[in-house]
Amino acid sequence: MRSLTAPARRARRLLTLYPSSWRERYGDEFVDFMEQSIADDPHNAKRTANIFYKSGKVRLGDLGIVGPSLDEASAPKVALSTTTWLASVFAVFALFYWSCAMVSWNSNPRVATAFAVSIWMGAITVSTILLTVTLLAIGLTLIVRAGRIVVRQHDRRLFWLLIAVLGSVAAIVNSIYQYTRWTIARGGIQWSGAGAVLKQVAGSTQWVTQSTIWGPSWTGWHFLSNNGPLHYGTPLAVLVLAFSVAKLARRLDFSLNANRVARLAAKLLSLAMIGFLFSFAGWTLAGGFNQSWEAPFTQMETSLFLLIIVITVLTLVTTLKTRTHRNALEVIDISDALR
Amino acid sequence: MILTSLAGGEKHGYALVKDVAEFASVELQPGTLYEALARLERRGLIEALASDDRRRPYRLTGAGATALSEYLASQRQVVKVGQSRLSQGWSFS
Repeated sequence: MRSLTAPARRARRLLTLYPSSWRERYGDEFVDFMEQSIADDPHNAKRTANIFYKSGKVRLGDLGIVGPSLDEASAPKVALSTTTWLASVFAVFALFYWSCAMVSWNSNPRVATAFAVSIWMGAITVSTILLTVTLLAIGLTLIVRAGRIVVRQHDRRLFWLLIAVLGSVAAIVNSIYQYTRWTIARGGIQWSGAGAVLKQVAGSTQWVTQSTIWGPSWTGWHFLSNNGPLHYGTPLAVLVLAFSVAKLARRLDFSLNANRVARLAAKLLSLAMIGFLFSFAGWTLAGGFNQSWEAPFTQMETSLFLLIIVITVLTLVTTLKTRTHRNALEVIDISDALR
Repeated sequence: MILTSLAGGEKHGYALVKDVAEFASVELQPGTLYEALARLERRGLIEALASDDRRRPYRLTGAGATALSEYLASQRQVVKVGQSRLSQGWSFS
């Protein structure tokens, strides 16, 4: 790197703004172009800003979020990958909102609630289950498939991704154990009746997800304190898991049938996310948002609505992704038929 | 503009930008250029040629020539109508 001229160094630095798939295709000629451009006009802020903006667009395209992907044949798995990590982040919030709503609805002593609130509570529960089960199915399928390839072909890149997945799963399981020790200490879930079980599951879910999302800020733990790594490590583990599973989706080869299943899974995720937001809005409008519901939110009153908006945007992005997914599959179907 | 430039013969990226600046007085930025090249290549209007060095030349395809011809014909019509209307209602000294 030291033997390179200043324009060459700058050109290579700017090239790193683009994703690897783009660099493979255009890297050499882009560097050549930039070396000449920088030699002619060394300081051009407009040129640099243009590269920042356009490379950002290419990166979003590479994730399948905007525009066509560079390689249309890989668009279905790119779509599944992005949908999976968006839905994973959404799922943590969805589980938290579901658990708070369930604890409020299923409170003790039982408070009489409107029939509409109960219906919307059921809809929230169904969409949360659909989202969680679909994510688990996608994650497990990808892990098993990657594991078989690692064992048979000794693929090192997949091996390290699997280690990241299993490590983050272990960290999350440990967090769940730590956060629910009080439930475990008194003998676990008391199987005395469906209502009681639901309440205990919701209570544990609320504690785990609340600690995962807001733990580091509202508990006041510092990283170097006894439980600091737990509070800071759990959200990190969730993000690592989401990104690792998404990477697995991109690294694995998909057959046409696997693409079709992936397309269905992406649609189910979008459906569950939209269903959740719709049910949550219905539940709020029906009067579910009462005082007992508000109690767990005292530490995040102002951020609540912002978070819901962010989640809505994520859902819309995911839905658009599914359309890209479908179009890409049609392209593959047609090219297969023509062969 | 890129198709017009390539209609005059194959060119690599930097030569293309210089040519466009000369005949259209438009400064194509690198990010914009490569975004456009990728899009035109995907649509089959241009093709990248094999090259021994880092500079990869691009060439107009048959489909690209047809698309350019159709586009220029439509623009010619716009120019014709605009000039005709200007000559009827406006005089320039």
